[in-house]
Amino acid sequence: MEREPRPHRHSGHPLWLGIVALVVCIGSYGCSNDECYDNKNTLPQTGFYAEVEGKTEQVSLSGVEIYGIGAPGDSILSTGSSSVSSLYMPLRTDTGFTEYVLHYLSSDPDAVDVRDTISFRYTTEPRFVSAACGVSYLFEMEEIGYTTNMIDSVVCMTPQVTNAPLENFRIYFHLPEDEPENPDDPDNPENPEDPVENIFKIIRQWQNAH
Amino acid sequence: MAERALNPSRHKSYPGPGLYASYGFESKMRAALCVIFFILSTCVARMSAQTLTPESPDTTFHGEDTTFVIEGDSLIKVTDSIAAPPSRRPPRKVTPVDIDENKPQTVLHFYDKHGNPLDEPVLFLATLDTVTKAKSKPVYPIYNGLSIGLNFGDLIMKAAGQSYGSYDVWADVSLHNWFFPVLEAGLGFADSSPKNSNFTYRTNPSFYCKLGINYNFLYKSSPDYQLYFGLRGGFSSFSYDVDNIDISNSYWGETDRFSLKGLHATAIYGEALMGIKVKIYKHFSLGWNIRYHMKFKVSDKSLSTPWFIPGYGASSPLSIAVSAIYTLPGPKTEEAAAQDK
Repeated sequence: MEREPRPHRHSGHPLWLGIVALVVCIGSYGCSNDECYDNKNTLPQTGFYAEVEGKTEQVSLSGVEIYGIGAPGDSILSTGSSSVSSLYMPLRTDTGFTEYVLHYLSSDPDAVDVRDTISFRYTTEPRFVSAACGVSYLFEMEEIGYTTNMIDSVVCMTPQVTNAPLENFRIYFHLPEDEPENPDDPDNPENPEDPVENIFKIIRQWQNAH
Repeated sequence: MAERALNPSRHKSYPGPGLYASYGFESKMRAALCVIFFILSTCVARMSAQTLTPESPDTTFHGEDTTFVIEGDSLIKVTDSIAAPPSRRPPRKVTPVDIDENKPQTVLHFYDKHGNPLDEPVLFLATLDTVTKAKSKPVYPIYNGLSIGLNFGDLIMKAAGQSYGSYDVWADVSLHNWFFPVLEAGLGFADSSPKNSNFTYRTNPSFYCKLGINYNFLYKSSPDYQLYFGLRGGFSSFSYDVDNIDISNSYWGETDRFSLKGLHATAIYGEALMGIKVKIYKHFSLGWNIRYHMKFKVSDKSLSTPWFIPGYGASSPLSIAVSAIYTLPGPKTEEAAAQDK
């Protein structure tokens, strides 16, 4: 007995499968316009650190005014009225050189005016990052200079500064080593024997634990 | 030892000279008592070893297996003269079993069907199923035609708002209607200005090519219909521009407007795809496939990363290809002709 040839049954499938595939592709195209999870502009992030009881910790500064030299209108980046543990310090793109001043404020009008200056020398190159993040600059750091009134050192964490949300610089400060004369009220801002304590209000922060 | 016996004062338990004189007499008495006790105990033991069951006060008694009768002064052994006392166990129940004389008796087989001795005798010789699976063998000849297609899938996606596209011409060779080596070559371009962005991205029409193979699951069926899985390796060398760039820095009061022209990159990528092909009219067919892309290597002389890669696409890892196909059929075998019917 001869077996009947099996009829082809493929002709009904392609239309449905094609429509499904088309919907999937259009859907994936619609979902492909993803968000930019980095910064759209390249803004170097700077963290403040100090050695406390033998350990290097990130500290919060209050009463430190930060501004760039040559900024239009002498605009201030940080007024010092609030505590900051890190700060975005934008670099100039028209020249490969940017200077910032850290002015340590004091409530005592007779106190000595203490300032530090940090200068960055770098090269600038624009680059296309992605459709979501667009075009941003890449800064290749060449030289970092600083004064050491209150600053111990400045460290460049990443030689290339991009739009990735990373900590690019670390500024390490001196901390007072002498104990305050009035141990009952060590945070007294009126204590004339401890001017550094007037400037810094250190809130210890463990980077990872808290 | 002799000295010790003659000098009993050296022995701590020595009872004294008076008792020592009577020691021999006592020991003889003890020995005689021991012999009498032994004889008595032996008799008692023998008597207790027998279960004495007197049927008459002085003539008959039973042992465990033997009955004894006393006639006068002699003891006569009588075997099985009296039935054993009834057992305390309940009587066994016996179920009657019909014995079928015609029941076939089990036969052990010591040799297999071919007369070869077995390792151990068996009750049954199993008959193995001799039907084997049909082997996968090609129905169509090794060269079964050549197909040429035009991929216009990105035209449909462009209508859906896609701002780039890749269009190619491809050709495949049918080997047994089973495997299809494929070569694709085409041009890709892009022109995109995304909303809320600071650039316009343009890729001039750039060449790309792909080489790969398709596996037809319906290789025994008519070549007019295919359901296939495929792999591709692609290469593209292309240039692109990023125009209308606008970067502003509010703190320093800077606004930079410029373009990045003539950026060049090369890319190597891969694709896995699944698709079908359907005969429309005579030698003309339509087909589509859905593709998943993987970047293997993208090199750019600049610091930029290309957004669109010709033949690959942009951000989405999926794409669809829709092709119009013309097929030059190969020679037909009788078996293939029967399949076509």
